Amino acid sequence: MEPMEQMETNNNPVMPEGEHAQKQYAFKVRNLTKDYDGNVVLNNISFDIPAGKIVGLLGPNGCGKTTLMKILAGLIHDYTGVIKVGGRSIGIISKAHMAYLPDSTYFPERFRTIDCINYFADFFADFDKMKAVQFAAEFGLDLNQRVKTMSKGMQEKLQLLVVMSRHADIYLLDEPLGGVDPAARSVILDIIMNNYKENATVVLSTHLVNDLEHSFDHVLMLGKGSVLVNTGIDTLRATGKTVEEIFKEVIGDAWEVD
Amino acid sequence: MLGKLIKHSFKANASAVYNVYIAMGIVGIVMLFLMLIDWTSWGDRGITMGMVFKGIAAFALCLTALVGVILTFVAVFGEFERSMYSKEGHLTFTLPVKSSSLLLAKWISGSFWVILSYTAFCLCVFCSTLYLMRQSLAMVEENDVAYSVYEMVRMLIDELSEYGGLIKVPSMTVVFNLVTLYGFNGGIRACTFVLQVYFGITLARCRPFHKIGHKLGKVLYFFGAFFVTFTFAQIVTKLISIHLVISENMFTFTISQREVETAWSLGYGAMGITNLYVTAVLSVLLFLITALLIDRKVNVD
Repeated sequence: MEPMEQMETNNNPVMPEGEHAQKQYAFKVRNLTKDYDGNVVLNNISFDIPAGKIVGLLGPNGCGKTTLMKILAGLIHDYTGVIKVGGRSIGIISKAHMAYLPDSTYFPERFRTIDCINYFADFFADFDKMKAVQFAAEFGLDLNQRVKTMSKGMQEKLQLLVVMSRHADIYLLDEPLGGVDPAARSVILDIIMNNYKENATVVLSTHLVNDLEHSFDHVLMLGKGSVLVNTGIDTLRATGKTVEEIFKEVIGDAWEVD
Repeated sequence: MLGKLIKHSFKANASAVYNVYIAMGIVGIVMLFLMLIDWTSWGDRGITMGMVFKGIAAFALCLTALVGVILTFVAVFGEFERSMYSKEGHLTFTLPVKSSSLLLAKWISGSFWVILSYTAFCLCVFCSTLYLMRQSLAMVEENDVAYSVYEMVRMLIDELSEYGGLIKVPSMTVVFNLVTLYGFNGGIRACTFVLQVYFGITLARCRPFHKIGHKLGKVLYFFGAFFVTFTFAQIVTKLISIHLVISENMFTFTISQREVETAWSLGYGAMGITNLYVTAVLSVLLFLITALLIDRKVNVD
């Protein structure tokens, strides 16, 4: 099947840098290519992600979702192409306004819950410490418990609570429901949906399309190193199909990465 | 932000090595306790036992300090690699700070702990030696350690002078200045060493240098950085050898080897500074290269 047309992609390689453009798009990506020792994961992709939307970043395993997230978060540097976050290059300012939740746990084992909260409070001006402490209580996390004594699920909750305690302009959430049992998924999803800053952009990567499709405003599907779909949810629904059905159709022959 | 980065880096290293310093303190207290015991009240056997226990305690102190140096290396360099290039890197690299600030914080904190471990080791060896010498040298005066050591060193130099006649014993002020300058020299070299290791670890994470593997790569690239720095500093020192002559209240620069020899024979001191200066400049260069690699080339897995 031919990849679905990228309905809202601006193919003009010259990016507007004005304030209007900054407000309109959270991310503008042009000609992005990334390979791992010759294996191309993202192949010359270009797309825009509109600001103030909940964006589903969908694709099969190995299609480059995590790589793309890491590049946007400033963790991967050796790529080619141009990326603008709110009209600026990736740097201190973009990081100050972006809350990133990786797909793995990252707090040092010696940290206690309160240390993690204080760490975020030290570095992020938009961090709401009271909210984080309140979250910890709701999650049943002891403020003095050390990370090394927590289960993986508790560590994931801890990371989620500190990330969602920020009043960021952009939230990059990499597989927040990955490895979580179905009962906990709705709880985590509620936390995300009820706590992000108003008018912020939330980019959620997942392969659990069914659980999340009702939350998305916009969908970006990756496969075979390319952008297969980049469109608003209303446009997708106008086709009379669910996101999951479209996902299966589009991804069908795109499981393999070139 | 730099202050906060230093604080967190400092705490991370401290949590790994504080046990060693507690152990050093305990051994030191045991040594003092052994010193206060009147072994003579148990006769000849008691004196022998006292000597053995004191010897063991002095050895234990030196050993603890040596373990402290090794543990500090493991803690400082392990923490750098873990916090930058492992899963913790996802947190470190998403902080709104410059790469150079990250590196500088790690460098300051790491150098502090390495210098502290060196200093503790030197002090422990010094105290242990003095502690054992107190038992055999009657000339050591009570409650004046500095004077006692000075007297011992002077005696040693007087002995040597009888054979060579090249060195006159410097005054306490000159000795103090020399110790300060040589301490500063050692500090700069410790900082350089820390940065060379950071550079090796970082380069081993960059394409295409990562292909030989992180473990082998970081060792090879560290030795590469060490070799280049050392060789370049040696070459420059051969070409331009500048010394700092230290007298009681004056520091003067000289490029004459004869003036250096004269200074020592007059009871002054001297220290070569070309090598130190070149090493310091190369450290700054290495810092900039490492920061650039972190900024442009490194990926967090």
